[in-house]
Amino acid sequence: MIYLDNAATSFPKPPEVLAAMTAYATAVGASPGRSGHRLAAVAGRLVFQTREQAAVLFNVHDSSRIIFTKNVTEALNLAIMGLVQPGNRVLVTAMEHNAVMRPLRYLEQKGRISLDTIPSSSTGEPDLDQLRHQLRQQSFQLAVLNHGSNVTGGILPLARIIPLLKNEGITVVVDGAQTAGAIPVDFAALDCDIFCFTGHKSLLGPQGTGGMILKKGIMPEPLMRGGTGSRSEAEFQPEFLPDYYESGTPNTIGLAGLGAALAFINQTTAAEIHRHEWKLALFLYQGLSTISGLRLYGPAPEQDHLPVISFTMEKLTPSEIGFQLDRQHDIMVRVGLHCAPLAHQTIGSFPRGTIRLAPGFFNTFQEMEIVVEAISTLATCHPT
Amino acid sequence: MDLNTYLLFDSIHYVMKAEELLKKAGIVIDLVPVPREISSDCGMCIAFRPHDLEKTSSLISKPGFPGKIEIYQRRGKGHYQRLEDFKPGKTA
Repeated sequence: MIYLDNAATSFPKPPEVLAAMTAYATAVGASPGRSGHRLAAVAGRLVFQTREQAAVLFNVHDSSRIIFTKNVTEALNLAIMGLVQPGNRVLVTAMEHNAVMRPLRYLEQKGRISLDTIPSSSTGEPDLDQLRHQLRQQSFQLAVLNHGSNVTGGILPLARIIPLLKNEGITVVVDGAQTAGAIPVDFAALDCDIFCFTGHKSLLGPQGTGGMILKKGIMPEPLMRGGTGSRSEAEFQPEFLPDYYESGTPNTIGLAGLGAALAFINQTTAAEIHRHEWKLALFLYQGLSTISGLRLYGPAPEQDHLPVISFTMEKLTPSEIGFQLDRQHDIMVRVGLHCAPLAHQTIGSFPRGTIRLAPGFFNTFQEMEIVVEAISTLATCHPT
Repeated sequence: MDLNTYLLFDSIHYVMKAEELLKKAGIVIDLVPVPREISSDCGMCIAFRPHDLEKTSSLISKPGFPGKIEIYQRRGKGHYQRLEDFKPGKTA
């Protein structure tokens, strides 16, 4: 079996992840920060160590500014709902996922915000001249930026875009769902206000983990309020970090796994992971380029690229290809719109969608050869 | 010597951070439930020996411990006195 759906959820995980989760489940089990006994202390240390590992990976000086959520969708909702004010004008890229678009469209529908998109090419790359023009024409308060596309694998040039936005005093939220763990991310250097991530994709952790990094001075309204294990005598939410945003018993077993995954990435380095995955993506892209009747989307991976390749075939629908790759070739891919209709509109594949190949760190070049061969066979069986 | 001096933080995050820092510095500590007489909180605090007060104070005063930090000393059974002179936790 060849698993090429790592952009949805990475699989397999490093063995250390399962070991950490098993160790927690069999020998600890307690709630962190909720009681005074030894096991609660062990659980507290696990969560603390996971935060510290994340701080190392993302270059965050104070790990209390890393807030854990159940996934990046929750983090993005927290950031968006917690920051926008009535009457705000919000800017997004043309490659946003529904984790960003749905909360923003909801706010727009309710008449609370207006929403604009940065004009982009048909490969999803933003037009910076048009962005400059937009910024001169309108006053924006918030920008939400897709750091790396889950449809094309294209990486947004944040180092060129964020300064333009910060220059106008715009609060910047970055959706790092696809980039966290896949490429080196230096939060301090990025200069965004909030960076959102998920634990179960390229961070190689379990599902049910994710979070956000808050720049000093940025305090969105929390999504939830409740028990934090601190200031229990007060019926009002404590306003210190990370407790302000982490009400209710956390996913300790998941965070134990995420901590081990982060330690694995810190040891391997995100740069090394990126180097391998980028080569896999390039191999796939070049292999698929030689097959007739097949169309590739997004920027060519010759430039910096995530391990995500999208294509369509003239004679077969994406769902037929996905089904045949699964049943005939034992290859797992994701087809359709990938919860990103805006991105597919941008690249011209809406509403049919694409077939997405998303290798991960544990995939090999030999597997990529098999995949290209399998797709070539499908194309040959259904000639244009 | 008795671990009769208590270091209290807002969040468990800082209890864990302080625990790691103080242990690395070779200070003898224990993680204990916050004594009822100090706070009705359900969390944990760090107990240490009074002769480590100065060293502990200097370590946790460094930036990286924003928020409220308090130190108490047990004076007798059920009696805890806050060490008001102690002013750690300068905002980072």
